Amino acid sequence: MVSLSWYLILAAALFLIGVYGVIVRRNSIAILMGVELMLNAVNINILAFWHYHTQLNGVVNVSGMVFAAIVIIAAAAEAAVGLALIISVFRRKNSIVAAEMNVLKG
Amino acid sequence: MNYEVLTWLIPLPPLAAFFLIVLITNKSNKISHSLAIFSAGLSWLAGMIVFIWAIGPQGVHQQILSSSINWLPTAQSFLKIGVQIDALTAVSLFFVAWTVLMIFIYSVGYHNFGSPKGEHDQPGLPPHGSTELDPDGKTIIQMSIEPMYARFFAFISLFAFAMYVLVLSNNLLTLYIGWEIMGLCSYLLIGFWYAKPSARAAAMKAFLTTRVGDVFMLLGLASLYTLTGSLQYEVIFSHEVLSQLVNSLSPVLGLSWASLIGLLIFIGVVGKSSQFPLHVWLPDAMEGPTPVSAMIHAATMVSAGVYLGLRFFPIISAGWEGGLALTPVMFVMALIGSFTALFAATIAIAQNDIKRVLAYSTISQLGYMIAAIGIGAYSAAVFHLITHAFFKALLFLGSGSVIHGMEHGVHHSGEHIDTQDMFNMGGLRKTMPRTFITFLAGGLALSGFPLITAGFWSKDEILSGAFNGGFNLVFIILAVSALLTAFYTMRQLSLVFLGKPRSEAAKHAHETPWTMTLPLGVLALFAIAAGWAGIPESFPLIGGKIPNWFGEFIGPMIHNSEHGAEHHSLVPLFTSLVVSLGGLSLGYLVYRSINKDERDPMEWSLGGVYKVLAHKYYIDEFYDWAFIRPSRWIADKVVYFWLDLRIIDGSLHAISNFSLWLGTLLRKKFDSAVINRGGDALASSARKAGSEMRVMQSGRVQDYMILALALILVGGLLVVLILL
Amino acid sequence: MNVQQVIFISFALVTVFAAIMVVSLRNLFHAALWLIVALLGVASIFALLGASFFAAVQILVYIGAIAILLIFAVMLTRNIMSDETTQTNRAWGLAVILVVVIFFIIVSQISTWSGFSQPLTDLPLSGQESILALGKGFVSPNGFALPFETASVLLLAALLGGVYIAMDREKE
Repeated sequence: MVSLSWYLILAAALFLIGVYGVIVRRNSIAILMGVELMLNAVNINILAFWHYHTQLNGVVNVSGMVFAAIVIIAAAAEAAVGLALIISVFRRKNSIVAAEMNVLKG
Repeated sequence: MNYEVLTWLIPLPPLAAFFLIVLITNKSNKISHSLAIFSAGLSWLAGMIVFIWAIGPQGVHQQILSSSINWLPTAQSFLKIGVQIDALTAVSLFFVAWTVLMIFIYSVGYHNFGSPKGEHDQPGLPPHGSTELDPDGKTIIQMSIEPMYARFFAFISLFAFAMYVLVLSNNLLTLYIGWEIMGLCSYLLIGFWYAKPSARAAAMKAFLTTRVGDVFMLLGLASLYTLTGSLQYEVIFSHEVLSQLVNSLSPVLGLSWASLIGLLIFIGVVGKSSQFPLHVWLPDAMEGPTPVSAMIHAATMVSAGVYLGLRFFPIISAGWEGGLALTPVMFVMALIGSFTALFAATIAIAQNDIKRVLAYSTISQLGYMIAAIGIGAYSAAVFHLITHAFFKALLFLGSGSVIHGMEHGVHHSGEHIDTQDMFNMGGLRKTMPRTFITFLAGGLALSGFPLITAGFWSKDEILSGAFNGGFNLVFIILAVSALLTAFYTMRQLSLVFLGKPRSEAAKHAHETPWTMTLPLGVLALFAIAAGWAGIPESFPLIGGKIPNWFGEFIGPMIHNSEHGAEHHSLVPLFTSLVVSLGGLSLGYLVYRSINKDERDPMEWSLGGVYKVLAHKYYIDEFYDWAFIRPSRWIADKVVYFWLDLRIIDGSLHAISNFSLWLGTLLRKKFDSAVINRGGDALASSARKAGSEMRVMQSGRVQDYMILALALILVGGLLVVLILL
Repeated sequence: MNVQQVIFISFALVTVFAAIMVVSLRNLFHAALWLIVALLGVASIFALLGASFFAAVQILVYIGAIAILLIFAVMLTRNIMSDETTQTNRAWGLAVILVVVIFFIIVSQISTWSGFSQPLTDLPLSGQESILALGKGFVSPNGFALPFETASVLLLAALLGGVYIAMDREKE
């Protein structure tokens, strides 16, 4: 039997790989890919717990599914807007290196 | 007719005139003098109405009219102001009202109302005259109007107010108020021509000298108030209070309180009525315009001193049973009064200025009155006060008229002479007849010319009082003074009016306008007739035919009936006849024909004594050495130099230097060093910290994220470690 | 070790490997393709969990839309990044350490929960039941109608926003 712990550990690993990608990669689009990884890990987590709860209670747990659905929706929206932003920035600065987006430097 | 209200209203018109002239009408001479004369007239009218009522059957014989209002609250009671009409007030009111009105009218002419303004005239100096072209084309100089005309009327109105207040008051406080205001007006009016240094000095001298007297008087008032708790006449002159005052001993010289208070008040009288040793201000006060001399220094202000002495007679004479055993105060009064009478008369014979002679004459006559009070001849003193006011005012106004005539002559002839020096006059009876006649009446009254002049009757009363009371020394001194009085009066008359003119100016003098000669005439009538109201019964032939109205009216003023004059001998009558006629004839003989540039016969006949007399016994010089110079020295060296400059200024400079030093120290050591540098250090350290921390703000999102992550980790570890 | 566990481990390993590839490859296009693999792996995990609907949605939305979008973006910005410069910034060492440490912390902490080791059995539901429940939940006012509608507004905003931001202004 696959215990809950395996899913959680998988989700954690995936999440942290996404974190690594966000922090380390220079290309903005690569950062976005990291963000997608993180969101997916979160989804795994949510659905794991959904299964757990449904299994325990015997009744379908709607909120878990809704949550996961919303996460997907949000991820989609965010990816769209984020890429639009990157394209726009690319048009101005001709670069998508995240380290060069430092106009807010203090 | 509510006499009480009328009495309250008597002093007020001149006060209103003063304020109106000062504030509103001072640009217009005509309105100012009309206002002043109108107000004096109103007071005169009210005063006459009250007087007539007072002497009538329903008047003050029955009941003294007295009314007060509460003024200043003290702890338990009030200080009051009030008015009173009794016999003394009534007769004083009479002479004050008449003389004030006459002098106001006279002032219009004296200050040359209606004349053009002089080109060189300035406010503060007497007018010099204005040049004009007469119809022939010659330039002539005319009298010019006084530049400060309205101011004069304002001041004399204020003075009139003060005199009325003093005479009408029913308590010592109101009297003192009037007294002090008169002192102020005297100062203002003596120094009227304030641009003249001599006038300024004279004004100060008058004020300071009378002030010396006033200080002692205030001490007397204060002790009276402390002892009796009231200043109302009806309280302090009541039997109980008087006997209390007589019987309690003061801490000074073993005198009773009555004597001490009487002496202190008398010192005030000495100052105000110009007796020795405080007489020095009156001759110098002749610097003021002549109406001022007439009003203040002849008729009214100096009379106020005698009035006070008369008012205070109950306290002064408390414990006197009649006869020669005078109370200490009366003794001092008799002494100083008679001494002053003789002393001033001797100085008068050596004076050449027409007004100075009259000034010393005033001092001498006041001495008469004070001596009379001193020997207990109360009604004689009152009588002489009244008659003297009339004829002395007349004489002063007459002298003013003479001086004006002389100034006409000076303008005409162009001489530069002293218009007040009698040795430049002469023969003025032809050119100034009206002045001559009235001056003659006044002069004869002053000398005590028998029967037809008021001065005779009043002086005779005093001499009778002295002789019949047994005060032989006083009698002799007063008689000698009367002789000298007649002598110098005739000297004056002869030098001024008789003989031939001794200067061009005197030749060209002419009579003064009606505004000046009318008051002279009215006063001359009084100078002649006023004496007939007080003919004593013991007078041979006519005594008893006309009732001695005056004696009967005034007599009841003193509680114990008059203790004097038990015997009525004829010696005083003879003596007064001899001295007055003798003095007059002696003067006439010596002075009737003094020619120009001839010296005064007194000079070579008296020799060195003349010099002493002419210099007024060198008393002014003595006072200067004994009092003025030390005061000046103290003021200059002690107070100014040491106290003011060294100590006060010194301590101020020390404080300021110290503050400056302290401030600089604080600035350098604390403000700049600590605060400024601290502030700067704070700012620069913040900037340094900022620029160091700025490195964190790379603008790169990834750096922020890793930083956040790391810090969360570390923080979380810390939390976990602490919690567990 | 039964069949389910073996399947799970293999899919998990694929997913993790694909994720590591995503964050390591220099060539972005390859990284995007590896991302697709990772997403597929995640979809399979969803299926294992019994959330079959979500597996389908994952493939449709994530792979079919988002990953394609990413590939578009990679293509549009392609010429800029040369393949020689490093793909990682200079903090990669610290990041690795941090990530590992955090992983261990997370795992150690959630393992203290009692339900951690709960074995997950098949759900006694048919696939339709859960989807029906989800559908009802999305539209019932007592359920999650509001978040659903809000989510659609969010998508509208994202749509408009994306268009506006990325619009080429010069050609207006």
